[in-house]
Amino acid sequence: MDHQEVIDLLPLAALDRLEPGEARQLDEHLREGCPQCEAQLRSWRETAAALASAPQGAGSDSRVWQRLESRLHTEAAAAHSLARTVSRPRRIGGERAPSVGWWRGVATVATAAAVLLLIYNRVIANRARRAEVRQLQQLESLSWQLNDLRSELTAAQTEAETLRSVLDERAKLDRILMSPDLQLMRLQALAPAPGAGGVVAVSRASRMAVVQTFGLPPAPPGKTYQLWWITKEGGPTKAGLFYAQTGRMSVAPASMPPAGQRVILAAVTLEPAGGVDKPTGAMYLKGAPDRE
Amino acid sequence: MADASKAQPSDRQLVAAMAAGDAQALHALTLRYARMLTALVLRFCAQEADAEETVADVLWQAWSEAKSYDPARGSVAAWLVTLARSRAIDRLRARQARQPPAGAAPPAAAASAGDPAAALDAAQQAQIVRTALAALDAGERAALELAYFSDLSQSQIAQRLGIPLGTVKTRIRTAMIKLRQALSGQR
Repeated sequence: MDHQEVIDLLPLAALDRLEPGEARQLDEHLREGCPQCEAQLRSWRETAAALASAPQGAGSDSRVWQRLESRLHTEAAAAHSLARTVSRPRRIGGERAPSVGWWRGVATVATAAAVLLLIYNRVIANRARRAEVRQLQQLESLSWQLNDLRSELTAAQTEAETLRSVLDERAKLDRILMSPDLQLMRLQALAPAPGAGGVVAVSRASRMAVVQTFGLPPAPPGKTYQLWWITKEGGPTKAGLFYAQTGRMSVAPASMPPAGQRVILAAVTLEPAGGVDKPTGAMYLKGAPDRE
Repeated sequence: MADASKAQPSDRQLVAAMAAGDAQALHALTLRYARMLTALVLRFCAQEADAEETVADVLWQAWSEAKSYDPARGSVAAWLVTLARSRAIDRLRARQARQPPAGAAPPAAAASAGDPAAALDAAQQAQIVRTALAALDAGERAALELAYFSDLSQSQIAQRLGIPLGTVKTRIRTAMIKLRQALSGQR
């Protein structure tokens, strides 16, 4: 990272909005000693601080002061109580109170102990606060990771469902291929997808039909592929919708051809999502039944 | 940020007096900054009482650490604002860890007492900043406001605004440069 790149980071650094890698690089640069960048960063921080005055009127300085005043009183009362405790001589069992010198000694020790206790409490409180912030940051990071993992899991489940559906259709295709009344139509590529191809298998006896394709480009958003039966008697009849994935064989169920009509052609066109009643889009594949 | 009038002690003088245990100096600093800091904290936290407690924490920290304040590291205003924003973000994270974020409540106006010179100066400062923000390109302003008044990282800002990460960096940097120019030109 050259010097200009470091200088470009400074406005974002003043807002505490550097990405971790950028913050590390800036820290290293400043640690190596760069008075120019240090001065500029101070200046950018003043600019950032000015932003704090943009939000409009809120809160009450007198209520804030009441809170502070209460803390000052608590602090003063604690100090006063400590002073009284260590400075008030007491008679125990009718004995004479210890001498002033003795009480001074006790007071000094008690004051030192109180100061040490105060410092210790503050150190512990600071550590606890830092630990709490660290834990919150870790929690936030774990929460992000959990969200990512959930997304990955959902994607994996969707993929698994797709594969299961493809396997079911492949099994169905195998059964049709073994049927004695198998009718096969080999789909040939047309101009929109020259490398594509496929097959449509129909068994009227077992009432099953399946289309399998390869080499079709994925349908654009809002579009889908639609299979058609074209019969001598009734023209094109819709036979099912399916999607294609790059580099994958697509296997999908098809509806049975119209009863009592002779299919002379099967065709695949690209249509609006949800399908249409009559073909409107470009034809990608077509094929006639194999001779029996 | 707030230049004191001739009769008023400067921010640095107030902090020096606080370091010597002068509670009146803390009072003066509170009158000078509490409302601005509360308005800032309210951008992160919905409850006014929480915001005021956070600001009291900030000023109490300033009172406790006044002796270690180093003017060479920046102005008193920048110090207080940095403390307030940092505490506000900590509170926001703590609250988000416990419950889903709530919409910010509209801040209520409240009367301010004391130090009219500082109040006037703060009002002028606020007007300059608001004018400078209003003059920014809408995209730059959105990126800068999310960077300063939220706890979103650059990547999260990019996601929120639906723009590439590089564009976020450019917009924030440009906005900061324009803001600095506006501040230096009008001060």
